[in-house]
Amino acid sequence: MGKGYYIKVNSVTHAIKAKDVLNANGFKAQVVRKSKQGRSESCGYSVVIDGDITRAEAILRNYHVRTSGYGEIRDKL
Amino acid sequence: MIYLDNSATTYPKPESVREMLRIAPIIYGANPGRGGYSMSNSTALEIYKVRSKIAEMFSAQSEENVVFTINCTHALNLAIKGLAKKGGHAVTSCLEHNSVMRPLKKLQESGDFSFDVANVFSDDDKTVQSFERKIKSNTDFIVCTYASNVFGDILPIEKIGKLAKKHNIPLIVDAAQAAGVLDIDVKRDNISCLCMPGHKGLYGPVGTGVLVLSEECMPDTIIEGGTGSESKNLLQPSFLPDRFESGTQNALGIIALGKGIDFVRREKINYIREHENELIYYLFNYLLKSDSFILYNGFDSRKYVPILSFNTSGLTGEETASYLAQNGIAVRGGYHCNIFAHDYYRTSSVGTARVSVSAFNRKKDIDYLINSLNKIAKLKKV
Repeated sequence: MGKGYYIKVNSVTHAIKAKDVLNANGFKAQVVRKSKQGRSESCGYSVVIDGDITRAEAILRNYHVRTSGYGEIRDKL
Repeated sequence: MIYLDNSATTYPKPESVREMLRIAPIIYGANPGRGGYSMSNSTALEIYKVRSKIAEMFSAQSEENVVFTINCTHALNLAIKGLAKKGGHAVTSCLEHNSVMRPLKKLQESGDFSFDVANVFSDDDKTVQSFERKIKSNTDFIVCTYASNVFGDILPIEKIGKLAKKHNIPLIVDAAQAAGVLDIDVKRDNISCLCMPGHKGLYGPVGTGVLVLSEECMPDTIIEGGTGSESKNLLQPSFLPDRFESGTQNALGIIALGKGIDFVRREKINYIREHENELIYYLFNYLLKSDSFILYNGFDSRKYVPILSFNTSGLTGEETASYLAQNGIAVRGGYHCNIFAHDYYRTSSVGTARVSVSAFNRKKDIDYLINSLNKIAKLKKV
C-alpha cells in the first residue's frame, strides 16, 4: 500500500472521469467530497487514490482529465 | 390512437425508459454534483454514464464535451447566440426550423448581425456551392439542419463540414430529425456544435436535449448561474460541461434518456431507419397511385429521412390532419414551425400533413392510415 493522495478536480464530471480512468489503469480510486475547501478550490469533489501520484497525474494528463493539484491524504479531508 | 407524429416526439417510449421514469425519482432523487452523500453521488454517476453513451454514439472528443440542455432549441440558442459576434454574419439553409431562424432573426434585429440563406438542391455539390457563395469575410458560423423536419431532405453535412473547415468557420448542426436515425460523427463531419433533442430519435423523455461541442469550439455563455463547481468564483466556469449547465439539471430525464439510447443501440440505428423507410415507402406508393393526394418529393432513402409530407387535393394540411385525428390517427398538420421550408416547397398557402414513424410503428398502422385516407378521397369526390 502506497501513500494516499487526494486529487483536486473542478467538477463532479471531471471527478467521475478521473476515477474511471485511474481505475482502468490499475488504481483503486474513489470520488469523495472534502469537508474543508480553500478559496482556490473548486467543486468540493476530489479523487482519492493509494499509490504513485506522479504516475496517476501522468495518466490523467494523457486522458485529458482536468485536475487542479493534489494533496496528501493525511491532510484532513 | 395510431401515433404517426414521431418527428414531434417519439411515442410510445421504450418500456425501459418508462420504467426508469417511474423509479428514478425514488433512487436518483437528489441533486447531482451538489452533495457528498450517496444519492447525490449515484445520481451524478448515472448522468456521467449517459454522457459517455452520447460521446461514444456521436464520436465526441470526451464526456465533458457533452452538454445537457432542456431541448434542441435550447442547444441551438446556446450555440448560435454564443458564437455570434457584433458585426458578424451567419450562413444558413432554406429549410430551417424556427429554432434556427428565430435566434438568427433576433440577432439580426439587434442591427449588428446579418445572415444569408443558401438554397438546398438534390445535387449535393450544388448545395455546397450555394453555401460557399454566401460565406463572407465576417461570417461567424454556418448553421443548418441535418435533415428537414417537414420534407425530410438530408443535407450533405459531411461536405458542408469540409467547407466550414476550409474557411475555418464553426458548423452548427440541428440534428432534431437525424439523431438516432442517421449515423452522425462530429469528427468525420467537422461539426463544431451538434444540437439535438433527447425525446425524438433517441427515445428519451421530453425536457431533454444535448449539445455536443468540438474541442476547438467554445461559444460565449448566454445563461450563467450555479453549477456546483467553483462556488467561490463569481465568474462562470470556463470548462465543460459546467460552462453551459447552470442551474439544476433534469437529472431524472437525463437518466431515462440513457435508457432510450440503450434502446437505439440495441435495435441499431441502421435497422431502425430501414424499418421506418419501409413503412414510409409503403405509404408513399399508395399516395403516388392515387390522384387525390399531392406529394412533394420522390422516395430515396439516401436523400430523405423517414418523414412524408403530403396534401389531400383541395384540403389544407391542417384539414387532413384534423380529419385523421377524428379517426384516431395522430399526424402533424400545418407549417411544422418551419414556414421557411414551406416557402421553398411552395406549400406556404396550405401547409402539409406530415407522417413520421418510429421503431414501434407497424405496417398495420399505415394500413389503418391508408384506410382513412381512402375515406377522405371518397368524400372529396362526392
